[in-house]
Parts: sequence; C-alpha cells; structure tokens
Amino acid sequence: MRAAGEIGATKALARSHAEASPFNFRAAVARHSLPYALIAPALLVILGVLGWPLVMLLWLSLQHYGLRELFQHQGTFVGLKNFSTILADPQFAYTLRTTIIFTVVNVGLSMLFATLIALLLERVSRFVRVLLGAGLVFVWATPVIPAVNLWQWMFDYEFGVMNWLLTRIGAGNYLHHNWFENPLQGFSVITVIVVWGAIPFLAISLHAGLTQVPRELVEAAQIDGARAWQVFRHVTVPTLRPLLLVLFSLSTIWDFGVFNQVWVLLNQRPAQDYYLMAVFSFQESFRVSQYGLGSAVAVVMIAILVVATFLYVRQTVRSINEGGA
Amino acid sequence: MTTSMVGMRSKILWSVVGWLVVFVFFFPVLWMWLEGLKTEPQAASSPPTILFVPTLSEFQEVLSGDFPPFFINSAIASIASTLLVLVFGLPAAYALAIRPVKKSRDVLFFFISTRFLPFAASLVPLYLLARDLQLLDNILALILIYTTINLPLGVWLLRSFLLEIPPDLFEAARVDGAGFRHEILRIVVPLITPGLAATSLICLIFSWNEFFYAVNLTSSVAATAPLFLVSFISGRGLFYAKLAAAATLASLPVLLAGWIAQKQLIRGLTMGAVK
Repeated sequence: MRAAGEIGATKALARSHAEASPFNFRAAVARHSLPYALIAPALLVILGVLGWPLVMLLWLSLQHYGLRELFQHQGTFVGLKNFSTILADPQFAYTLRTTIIFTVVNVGLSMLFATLIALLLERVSRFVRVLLGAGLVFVWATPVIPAVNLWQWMFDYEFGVMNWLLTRIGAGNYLHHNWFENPLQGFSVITVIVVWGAIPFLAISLHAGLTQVPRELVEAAQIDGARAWQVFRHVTVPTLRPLLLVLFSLSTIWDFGVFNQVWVLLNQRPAQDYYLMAVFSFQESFRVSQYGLGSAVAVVMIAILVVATFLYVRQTVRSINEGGA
Repeated sequence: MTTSMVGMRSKILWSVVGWLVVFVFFFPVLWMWLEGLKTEPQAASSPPTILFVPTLSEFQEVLSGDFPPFFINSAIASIASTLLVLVFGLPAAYALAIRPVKKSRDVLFFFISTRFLPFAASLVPLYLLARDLQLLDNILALILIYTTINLPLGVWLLRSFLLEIPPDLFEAARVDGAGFRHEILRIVVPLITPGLAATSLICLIFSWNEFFYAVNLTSSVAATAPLFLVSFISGRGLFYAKLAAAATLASLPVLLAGWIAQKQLIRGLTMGAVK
C-alpha cells in the first residue's frame, strides 16, 4: 500500500515535470535570475556614487591637478610623484603623527567612558536608568554642528561658561583664557567634544550587549568566588568580543576621519598645528588647489584605515567563528 | 546590617553617581536649550545669567527670518534620499534574505565594506563629478550622495528584519500557488512595516545631520540646516541666543526620530552584533 502510494506520487511528479517543462523553463529562469535583478539596482547605485569616485580618486592621485587643470578638465599624469611629494612634506609627517595619536586617545577614552557608563546603567535604579538613557539619546541625536557650536561657545574666551566655571571653582584664573593658543589644549577641547559625541552610541550599544550576557554564567562565576573585576574580565568581555570589535573598528574609522569638529571649532580656518588627515587632504585640495596632492593624502588615509581595520575585521570573523563552534 | 540593606546602599550610591553623570553629560544640551530661551544680552553676559524669564522671541525671529529655506532643503534632501534608500534597498534586502544566491555573502560583505571608507576621501572626485554634471549647489547631488551613504546600512537593516519573518509563511504561500506579487503584498509588506519605519528614521537622522558634503557641494540655493548654523559663527557678535534657538530647532526632528528608533539604530550601527 505504502509502496504503491510512493510510486503513484513519483509518477505524478514525473508527469507534472514533463507537462510543465516547456513554459516552466521560462519561469525557472525568471525565478533564478530574480535575486540578481533585485540586487542589481542597489549595487549599481553604490558602484556609481561610491565606487566610481574611488577609482577617480586613485587616478587623480597619480596626476598633477591644479587650478589650470581644473579649468581644462584634464590633469597631467605624473606617476607616483604626488606620493613622494607628500611623504617628503614635514607637514604630512606631523599631521599623520597627530592623527594617529588623536585616534588612539579618542578611541581609548570613548570606549573607556562608554564601558563605565554601560556598567553604571546596570547598577542604578530604573528611574535613573531611564533618565541616563534619555540623556544619552539626546546627546547622540544632537546634530554635530549645533553640538560643536555649543562647545565652541562654552569654551569662548570672553563669554564662555567654562572659563567662568573653572575660575569659580578655584582651578585658577581662566578669565579670558584662549584655549586654542596652544595646540595641546586645543586638541584637548576637540577630544572632549569628540568623546562626548561618541559616548552615547557606544554606551547604549554596550549596555544592550551587556543585557545579552548569560546570567547563569555570571552567577556561576560568582559562586566560584570570582570578584567583580574577574567576572568582567573572564565572562563579560569574551561574550561581548564581537560587539567590542565592531565598536572599536567603527570608532577608529570615525576618529581617524574627524573633520567637522576641527573645522567648525576653528572657524573654518584651522591653523596648520590643528591639521588632522581629513583636514589636510581638504586643505591641499580646496585651499591650495592641489587636487592631485589632496587625493594622494586621501589614498594614504584609506590605505592606513584598510590595514588597521582589516586586522579588526579578521579578528571579528574569527571570534564569531569561535562563538559559533 | 542585612545584605539587602548593603544592596540598597550601594544602589543609592550608584544612583547618585548616575545623576552626576547625567548632569555633566547632558549639561551642554541643556545649556543650549536654556540659551535659546534667553534674550541676546542675557545670553552673552559674563558671568552667565542663571535666573531669567524665558522668552520665545528668539525662536520667533529665527523662524520668521532666513532659516526656513535651509530647513526645507534639509527636509527635501532627507526625505527624498530616504525614499530612494527604500526603493533600492528593499528589493536587494529581499533577495539577500529570502532568496539568497551563491554570491549573497560576498554582496553583503561588499555592502558593509563601504562603511569603512572615510567621508573625506571621496570628496575631491565627487566634487569634480558634481561640477561636470552641473550638480554643484543642487539638492539633487546631496540626495544622490545621502542615498548611497545610507543604502548599505538600509539593506543590512531591512535584511535583518526580513530574516525574522518565519520561512514557513513563504513555504505555505508557495504551496498555495501564490505568485511573487502576492508574496510581496500579503506577507512581506505587512510584516516588515515596523522595520521600514525604523530604517527610514535612521536614514532621516543621518541625512539630516550630514554636514561635510553639504558644506562643500552647496553654497546658497541648496544649503541645508547645518550650514545655516555655521553661517552664524563667521558672523559672531551678539547672536548667541539666536544660534541656540536655531540649533535647538535643527536638532528637534532628530531628537524625536532618535528617541523612537534607538533600538533599531543600535542594531543597525553595530551591524547586528546587538539584536
């Protein structure tokens, strides 16, 4: 009975295949190519508006492209000359060093404070948690330009509330103190702004990640006599590894490419001491009208980021594989 | 003393720390809101005016002045680019989630890899392209760029929402002989509406806040809200209250969208490392 039923089913299947094949063939092709047809438009947009400029950038970095060439719509091929020029430029060396230090400090501080706030969020009462969460979202959602305006004017040498506050609490005489006379102080202010703006997203993500750490694991560790720090080090961090890697690489990309904060804070005319890579590339291109040199700087910037984040990404893939195994 | 009392005390202690963090962290935004409610002389006084009668006159002045065109440009760029992200992104996300092909993983990786490009790097070529296409100071250029910047994230997010639709539903529909159209209209659209809303909000926020391309590719006709705010700085003088009022207005749409979409936002930005 069962065997007969199976044979019957097979026959019916074979028949339906044979009958359907002439016009089902077209349907099958349509079915098969449908995914490609659906992906293609999005892919084309990205290749056109993001991929093509990237190819152009590489090509521009190999050309002499100044004001004259800008009007002629045609650069002169010079090979790797732009790269040798910028590598010999002391300003480039200074900018690269500054940018790397700036990135390390900013990523480090952002991640540190974000982690502390995420841990704090777990320990406070519900009310304070909602309050803190709201504060984080508000800061996060404040667009970067108003935010920089805000800080600029809190650090203003004449009307700034910071100078008033610091003088008031007895930290010294800060009245009419110009924070941007000394690049180290200036970069400290920029760091405050960048870290302040970066914390909300990092802290909220980390807090969301923390809620996913299995409770049993933490409790088991506590029963075994692990201290808070040990639990954090041996249970929390390994569980959050993929998230931490994503956050580290995103922060690195963002902080390495900082432009807006410097640009707006220094009234769109930053002194050379304040050049970060993005600002330098911009100035070479649009202020000095050496688009070839500016492009070369941008290419170096991308190369460094690719190398730095490639390691991160490989690590992420590895840790996800380990987690899955 | 019992353990619960110790627990209570540490909880109160942490809450006090929490309040402090909220205050320090939130202070700049609060300060902005307050300054917008002051008059110009009050806002520019040193030491700062703490006690004052709030007034909405600066808000009125900003709204009746030259701010609205910038605001409208921002709205056009954000809304149009968001719609385009959905138009291009939803089909791609559908294909990647529901009908994956051999190369789906590579395509997905390609989409994500675009997030590893610094903005500043593609400015020069985009500037030259926009010039050649006569798109300088044209809102269309910004719409195109914002669409492209948001598209990878949009595809990624929409795909993660589509993956949550139980595969059985599609199976059942196919067994019933439902066509592609039916599948989209009856299953995908109703179930993905929250996902669409969240993705839209995130795209809106990003394009609303974007400054770098806007400042370099537009000047007067197509300038967006952030540019208006920067124009205050070069002017300086006694415009602090007005600047604060404008900044508050410019951040208002984003505050609302951010509050509504915060959960999805984290999920999108961490590329799914947080669900």
